[in-house]
Amino acid sequence: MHEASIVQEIIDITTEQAKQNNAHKVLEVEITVGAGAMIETDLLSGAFDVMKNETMLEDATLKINKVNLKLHCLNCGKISESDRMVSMECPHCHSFETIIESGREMLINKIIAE
Amino acid sequence: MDIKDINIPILSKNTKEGETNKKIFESKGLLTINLMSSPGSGKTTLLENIAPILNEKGFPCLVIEGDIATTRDAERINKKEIKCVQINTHGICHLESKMIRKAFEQLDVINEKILFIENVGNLVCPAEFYLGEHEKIAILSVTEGEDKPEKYPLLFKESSCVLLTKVDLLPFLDLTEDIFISEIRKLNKKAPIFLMSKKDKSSYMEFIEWLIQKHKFIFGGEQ
Repeated sequence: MHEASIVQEIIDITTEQAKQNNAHKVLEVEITVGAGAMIETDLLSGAFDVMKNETMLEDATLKINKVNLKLHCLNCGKISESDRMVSMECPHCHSFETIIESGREMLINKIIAE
Repeated sequence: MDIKDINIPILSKNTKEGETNKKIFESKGLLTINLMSSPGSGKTTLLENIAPILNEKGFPCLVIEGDIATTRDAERINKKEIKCVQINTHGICHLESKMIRKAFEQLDVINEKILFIENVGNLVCPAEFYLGEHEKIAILSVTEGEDKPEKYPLLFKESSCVLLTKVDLLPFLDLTEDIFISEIRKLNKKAPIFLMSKKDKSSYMEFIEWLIQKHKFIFGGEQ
Protein backbone atom coordinates (compact mmCIF):
# COMPACT_ATOMS: atom_id res chain seq x y z
CA MET A 1 0.00 0.00 0.00
CA HIS A 2 2.46 2.65 -1.11
CA GLU A 3 0.27 4.06 -3.87
CA ALA A 4 -0.05 7.48 -2.17
CA SER A 5 3.74 7.89 -2.25
CA ILE A 6 3.75 6.98 -5.95
CA VAL A 7 0.98 9.50 -6.71
CA GLN A 8 2.88 12.25 -4.88
CA GLU A 9 5.91 11.54 -7.09
CA ILE A 10 3.73 11.59 -10.23
CA ILE A 11 2.31 14.99 -9.21
CA ASP A 12 5.76 16.40 -8.37
CA ILE A 13 7.46 15.19 -11.56
CA THR A 14 4.56 16.23 -13.79
CA THR A 15 4.40 19.71 -12.23
CA GLU A 16 8.14 20.14 -12.74
CA GLN A 17 7.93 19.02 -16.38
CA ALA A 18 4.89 21.21 -17.10
CA LYS A 19 6.58 24.29 -15.62
CA GLN A 20 9.73 23.66 -17.65
CA ASN A 21 7.51 23.73 -20.74
CA ASN A 22 5.75 26.92 -19.62
CA ALA A 23 2.42 25.17 -19.18
CA HIS A 24 0.00 26.19 -16.46
CA LYS A 25 -2.44 23.33 -16.53
CA VAL A 26 -2.06 19.57 -16.99
CA LEU A 27 -4.82 17.72 -18.84
CA GLU A 28 -3.49 14.19 -18.91
CA VAL A 29 -0.62 12.13 -17.54
CA GLU A 30 0.17 8.82 -19.16
CA ILE A 31 2.10 6.27 -17.14
CA THR A 32 3.29 2.69 -17.50
CA VAL A 33 3.01 0.30 -14.59
CA GLY A 34 4.59 -3.13 -14.77
CA ALA A 35 2.77 -6.08 -13.23
CA GLY A 36 5.84 -6.63 -11.07
CA ALA A 37 5.86 -3.09 -9.69
CA MET A 38 3.72 -4.15 -6.73
CA ILE A 39 1.15 -1.45 -7.42
CA GLU A 40 -2.63 -1.77 -7.33
CA THR A 41 -3.75 0.44 -10.19
CA ASP A 42 -7.29 0.99 -8.83
CA LEU A 43 -5.82 2.34 -5.62
CA LEU A 44 -3.40 4.45 -7.65
CA SER A 45 -6.28 6.04 -9.60
CA GLY A 46 -8.26 6.59 -6.40
CA ALA A 47 -5.30 8.27 -4.69
CA PHE A 48 -4.65 10.40 -7.79
CA ASP A 49 -8.25 11.70 -7.83
CA VAL A 50 -7.94 12.89 -4.24
CA MET A 51 -4.35 14.13 -4.23
CA LYS A 52 -4.48 16.11 -7.50
CA ASN A 53 -6.76 18.74 -5.91
CA GLU A 54 -5.23 22.19 -5.60
CA THR A 55 -2.34 21.30 -7.92
CA MET A 56 -1.69 21.95 -11.62
CA LEU A 57 -3.12 18.49 -12.19
CA GLU A 58 -6.54 19.30 -10.71
CA ASP A 59 -8.36 18.67 -14.01
CA ALA A 60 -6.00 16.00 -15.27
CA THR A 61 -6.84 12.40 -15.98
CA LEU A 62 -4.41 9.61 -15.23
CA LYS A 63 -3.98 7.13 -18.05
CA ILE A 64 -2.40 3.88 -16.91
CA ASN A 65 -0.84 1.44 -19.36
CA LYS A 66 -0.28 -1.89 -17.70
CA VAL A 67 2.52 -4.09 -18.99
CA ASN A 68 3.02 -7.74 -18.20
CA LEU A 69 5.75 -9.21 -16.11
CA LYS A 70 8.17 -11.14 -18.33
CA LEU A 71 10.09 -13.99 -16.79
CA HIS A 72 13.03 -15.55 -18.58
CA CYS A 73 13.62 -19.13 -17.47
CA LEU A 74 17.31 -20.02 -17.24
CA ASN A 75 16.45 -23.69 -17.11
CA CYS A 76 14.32 -24.17 -20.24
CA GLY A 77 15.03 -20.81 -21.88
CA LYS A 78 11.36 -19.95 -22.40
CA ILE A 79 9.88 -16.55 -21.72
CA SER A 80 6.56 -16.40 -19.91
CA GLU A 81 4.29 -13.46 -19.33
CA SER A 82 1.93 -12.73 -16.52
CA ASP A 83 -0.36 -9.82 -15.72
CA ARG A 84 0.21 -10.40 -12.02
CA MET A 85 3.21 -10.83 -9.77
CA VAL A 86 2.16 -14.27 -8.66
CA SER A 87 5.25 -16.36 -8.72
CA MET A 88 8.79 -16.57 -9.97
CA GLU A 89 8.13 -20.13 -11.11
CA CYS A 90 8.45 -20.92 -14.82
CA PRO A 91 5.01 -22.17 -15.93
CA HIS A 92 6.65 -24.42 -18.56
CA CYS A 93 9.26 -26.39 -16.63
CA HIS A 94 8.40 -25.32 -13.04
CA SER A 95 11.92 -24.14 -12.37
CA PHE A 96 12.47 -21.17 -10.06
CA GLU A 97 15.67 -20.27 -11.88
CA THR A 98 14.11 -17.31 -13.56
CA ILE A 99 15.07 -13.72 -14.07
CA ILE A 100 12.69 -10.81 -14.47
CA GLU A 101 13.22 -9.51 -17.96
CA SER A 102 10.74 -6.64 -17.67
CA GLY A 103 7.60 -5.61 -15.87
CA ARG A 104 9.11 -4.03 -12.76
CA GLU A 105 8.97 -0.53 -14.23
CA MET A 106 6.92 2.51 -13.28
CA LEU A 107 7.34 5.35 -15.76
CA ILE A 108 5.78 8.66 -16.69
CA ASN A 109 5.59 8.46 -20.48
CA LYS A 110 3.68 11.48 -21.63
CA ILE A 111 2.07 14.65 -20.32
CA ILE A 112 -0.60 16.68 -22.10
CA ALA A 113 -0.66 20.24 -20.83
CA GLU A 114 -1.63 23.75 -21.87
CA MET B 1 0.92 20.75 -25.74
CA ASP B 2 2.25 17.22 -25.61
CA ILE B 3 5.35 16.49 -23.56
CA LYS B 4 6.10 13.12 -25.13
CA ASP B 5 8.52 10.26 -24.67
CA ILE B 6 9.81 11.50 -21.37
CA ASN B 7 9.84 8.04 -19.75
CA ILE B 8 10.84 9.25 -16.33
CA PRO B 9 10.95 6.53 -13.66
CA ILE B 10 8.35 7.57 -11.09
CA LEU B 11 10.66 6.73 -8.21
CA SER B 12 13.67 8.46 -9.80
CA LYS B 13 13.77 11.21 -7.15
CA ASN B 14 13.84 8.67 -4.35
CA THR B 15 16.58 6.75 -6.12
CA LYS B 16 18.64 9.93 -6.64
CA GLU B 17 18.22 10.90 -2.99
CA GLY B 18 19.27 7.36 -2.11
CA GLU B 19 22.45 7.73 -4.15
CA THR B 20 23.25 10.96 -2.31
CA ASN B 21 22.62 9.16 1.00
CA LYS B 22 25.04 6.45 -0.03
CA LYS B 23 27.78 9.00 -0.76
CA ILE B 24 27.25 10.58 2.65
CA PHE B 25 27.35 7.18 4.39
CA GLU B 26 30.52 6.21 2.52
CA SER B 27 32.22 9.53 3.34
CA LYS B 28 31.75 8.61 6.99
CA GLY B 29 32.96 5.04 6.50
CA LEU B 30 29.55 3.50 7.19
CA LEU B 31 28.46 0.18 5.76
CA THR B 32 24.68 0.60 5.48
CA ILE B 33 22.23 -2.25 5.85
CA ASN B 34 18.49 -2.11 5.04
CA LEU B 35 16.72 -4.71 7.19
CA MET B 36 13.36 -5.83 5.87
CA SER B 37 10.83 -8.34 7.16
CA SER B 38 7.32 -8.86 8.51
CA PRO B 39 6.40 -7.23 11.82
CA GLY B 40 7.54 -9.38 14.71
CA SER B 41 10.20 -11.37 12.88
CA GLY B 42 12.92 -10.17 15.24
CA LYS B 43 14.60 -7.16 13.61
CA THR B 44 14.93 -5.18 16.83
CA THR B 45 15.91 -8.25 18.84
CA LEU B 46 18.63 -8.96 16.28
CA LEU B 47 20.03 -5.43 16.63
CA GLU B 48 19.84 -5.53 20.45
CA ASN B 49 21.93 -8.68 20.36
CA ILE B 50 24.46 -8.07 17.61
CA ALA B 51 25.26 -4.37 18.13
CA PRO B 52 27.08 -4.91 21.47
CA ILE B 53 29.13 -7.74 19.91
CA LEU B 54 30.00 -5.63 16.87
CA ASN B 55 31.01 -2.82 19.21
CA GLU B 56 33.37 -5.15 21.08
CA LYS B 57 34.89 -6.21 17.78
CA GLY B 58 35.62 -2.60 16.84
CA PHE B 59 32.60 -2.06 14.61
CA PRO B 60 30.29 0.26 16.55
CA CYS B 61 26.83 0.73 15.06
CA LEU B 62 24.18 3.34 14.45
CA VAL B 63 20.51 2.52 14.05
CA ILE B 64 17.64 4.23 12.26
CA GLU B 65 14.35 2.72 13.39
CA GLY B 66 11.34 2.91 11.10
CA ASP B 67 7.88 2.36 12.48
CA ILE B 68 4.40 3.58 11.71
CA ALA B 69 3.99 4.68 15.34
CA THR B 70 5.66 4.69 18.78
CA THR B 71 9.28 5.02 19.87
CA ARG B 72 9.33 1.61 21.54
CA ASP B 73 11.99 0.15 19.25
CA ALA B 74 14.31 3.14 19.64
CA GLU B 75 13.91 2.91 23.41
CA ARG B 76 14.95 -0.75 23.30
CA ILE B 77 18.02 0.07 21.21
CA ASN B 78 18.96 3.11 23.34
CA LYS B 79 18.95 0.90 26.43
CA LYS B 80 21.85 -0.97 24.86
CA GLU B 81 23.72 2.36 24.60
CA ILE B 82 23.59 2.35 20.84
CA LYS B 83 22.95 5.62 19.04
CA CYS B 84 19.54 5.41 17.48
CA VAL B 85 16.96 7.68 15.93
CA GLN B 86 13.32 6.79 15.40
CA ILE B 87 11.32 7.64 12.29
CA ASN B 88 7.54 7.50 12.65
CA THR B 89 5.94 7.25 9.23
CA HIS B 90 2.38 7.90 10.50
CA GLY B 91 0.71 5.32 8.33
CA ILE B 92 3.21 5.01 5.49
CA CYS B 93 4.22 1.38 5.06
CA HIS B 94 7.88 1.91 4.07
CA LEU B 95 10.83 4.27 4.48
CA GLU B 96 11.97 6.68 1.76
CA SER B 97 15.39 8.22 1.07
CA LYS B 98 14.57 11.70 2.25
CA MET B 99 13.25 10.39 5.59
CA ILE B 100 16.56 8.60 6.05
CA ARG B 101 18.60 11.74 5.31
CA LYS B 102 16.63 13.76 7.87
CA ALA B 103 16.99 11.06 10.50
CA PHE B 104 20.69 10.56 9.76
CA GLU B 105 21.37 14.27 10.32
CA GLN B 106 20.20 13.80 13.92
CA LEU B 107 22.83 11.14 14.58
CA ASP B 108 26.15 12.19 16.04
CA VAL B 109 28.54 10.08 13.99
CA ILE B 110 31.97 9.69 15.58
CA ASN B 111 33.70 6.41 14.80
CA GLU B 112 30.76 4.14 13.95
CA LYS B 113 31.25 1.71 11.11
CA ILE B 114 27.83 0.19 10.43
CA LEU B 115 24.47 1.90 9.99
CA PHE B 116 21.43 -0.35 10.31
CA ILE B 117 18.15 0.87 8.90
CA GLU B 118 15.29 -1.12 10.39
CA ASN B 119 12.55 -0.72 7.83
CA VAL B 120 8.82 -0.74 8.59
CA GLY B 121 7.63 -4.32 9.10
CA ASN B 122 6.21 -5.23 5.71
CA LEU B 123 7.23 -7.74 3.04
CA VAL B 124 6.00 -5.81 0.00
CA CYS B 125 6.49 -2.04 -0.07
CA PRO B 126 9.96 -1.48 1.46
CA ALA B 127 11.58 -3.50 -1.33
CA GLU B 128 10.50 -0.84 -3.85
CA PHE B 129 12.34 2.05 -2.21
CA TYR B 130 16.12 2.33 -2.39
CA LEU B 131 17.49 4.19 0.62
CA GLY B 132 21.20 4.33 -0.18
CA GLU B 133 22.02 1.02 1.46
CA HIS B 134 24.91 -1.25 0.50
CA GLU B 135 22.99 -4.42 1.30
CA LYS B 136 19.34 -5.39 1.52
CA ILE B 137 18.75 -8.11 4.09
CA ALA B 138 15.54 -10.13 4.41
CA ILE B 139 14.61 -11.64 7.76
CA LEU B 140 12.21 -14.54 8.08
CA SER B 141 11.21 -16.05 11.42
CA VAL B 142 10.36 -19.74 11.40
CA THR B 143 6.93 -19.12 12.97
CA GLU B 144 5.83 -17.18 9.88
CA GLY B 145 5.87 -20.38 7.85
CA GLU B 146 7.98 -21.65 4.97
CA ASP B 147 5.59 -20.30 2.32
CA LYS B 148 6.49 -16.62 2.81
CA PRO B 149 9.42 -16.41 0.34
CA GLU B 150 7.28 -17.77 -2.50
CA LYS B 151 4.36 -15.49 -1.54
CA TYR B 152 6.58 -12.38 -1.36
CA PRO B 153 9.23 -13.28 -3.93
CA LEU B 154 10.78 -9.91 -4.70
CA LEU B 155 12.18 -9.21 -1.29
CA PHE B 156 13.77 -12.64 -1.06
CA LYS B 157 15.00 -12.57 -4.64
CA GLU B 158 16.67 -9.18 -4.32
CA SER B 159 18.23 -9.55 -0.87
CA SER B 160 21.95 -10.15 -0.57
CA CYS B 161 21.56 -12.15 2.63
CA VAL B 162 18.65 -13.92 4.37
CA LEU B 163 18.39 -14.37 8.13
CA LEU B 164 16.24 -17.20 9.46
CA THR B 165 15.35 -16.27 13.04
CA LYS B 166 13.76 -17.99 16.05
CA VAL B 167 15.18 -21.36 14.97
CA ASP B 168 14.97 -22.50 18.61
CA LEU B 169 11.22 -22.78 18.00
CA LEU B 170 11.60 -25.31 15.16
CA PRO B 171 11.03 -28.31 17.45
CA PHE B 172 7.51 -26.96 18.13
CA LEU B 173 6.65 -26.65 14.44
CA ASP B 174 6.12 -29.39 11.88
CA LEU B 175 8.94 -27.87 9.84
CA THR B 176 12.65 -28.31 9.49
CA GLU B 177 15.39 -25.83 8.69
CA ASP B 178 15.95 -27.65 5.39
CA ILE B 179 12.42 -26.81 4.24
CA PHE B 180 13.03 -23.11 4.85
CA ILE B 181 16.41 -23.21 3.15
CA SER B 182 15.07 -24.95 0.05
CA GLU B 183 12.15 -22.48 -0.18
CA ILE B 184 14.56 -19.52 0.01
CA ARG B 185 16.93 -21.20 -2.47
CA LYS B 186 14.11 -21.49 -5.02
CA LEU B 187 14.25 -17.70 -5.30
CA ASN B 188 17.79 -16.86 -4.40
CA LYS B 189 20.64 -19.21 -5.23
CA LYS B 190 23.47 -17.03 -3.99
CA ALA B 191 22.53 -15.18 -0.83
CA PRO B 192 24.01 -16.66 2.32
CA ILE B 193 21.33 -17.89 4.73
CA PHE B 194 22.17 -17.52 8.42
CA LEU B 195 20.17 -19.42 11.05
CA MET B 196 19.89 -17.74 14.43
CA SER B 197 18.15 -17.59 17.75
CA LYS B 198 18.39 -15.15 20.62
CA LYS B 199 18.70 -18.14 22.97
CA ASP B 200 22.09 -18.96 21.50
CA LYS B 201 24.32 -15.93 21.09
CA SER B 202 26.90 -17.96 19.16
CA SER B 203 24.32 -18.31 16.36
CA TYR B 204 24.90 -14.62 15.51
CA MET B 205 28.62 -15.00 14.89
CA GLU B 206 28.57 -16.07 11.25
CA PHE B 207 26.36 -13.13 10.32
CA ILE B 208 28.55 -10.74 12.32
CA GLU B 209 31.60 -12.02 10.44
CA TRP B 210 29.75 -11.51 7.14
CA LEU B 211 29.06 -7.87 8.09
CA ILE B 212 32.69 -7.28 9.03
CA GLN B 213 33.87 -8.76 5.73
CA LYS B 214 31.42 -6.54 3.81
CA HIS B 215 32.79 -3.51 5.62
CA LYS B 216 36.37 -4.50 4.84
CA PHE B 217 35.48 -5.12 1.22
CA ILE B 218 34.12 -1.60 0.78
CA PHE B 219 36.42 0.40 3.03
CA GLY B 220 39.57 -1.69 3.06
CA GLY B 221 41.05 -3.97 5.70
CA GLU B 222 42.80 -1.41 7.87
CA GLN B 223 39.75 -0.54 9.92
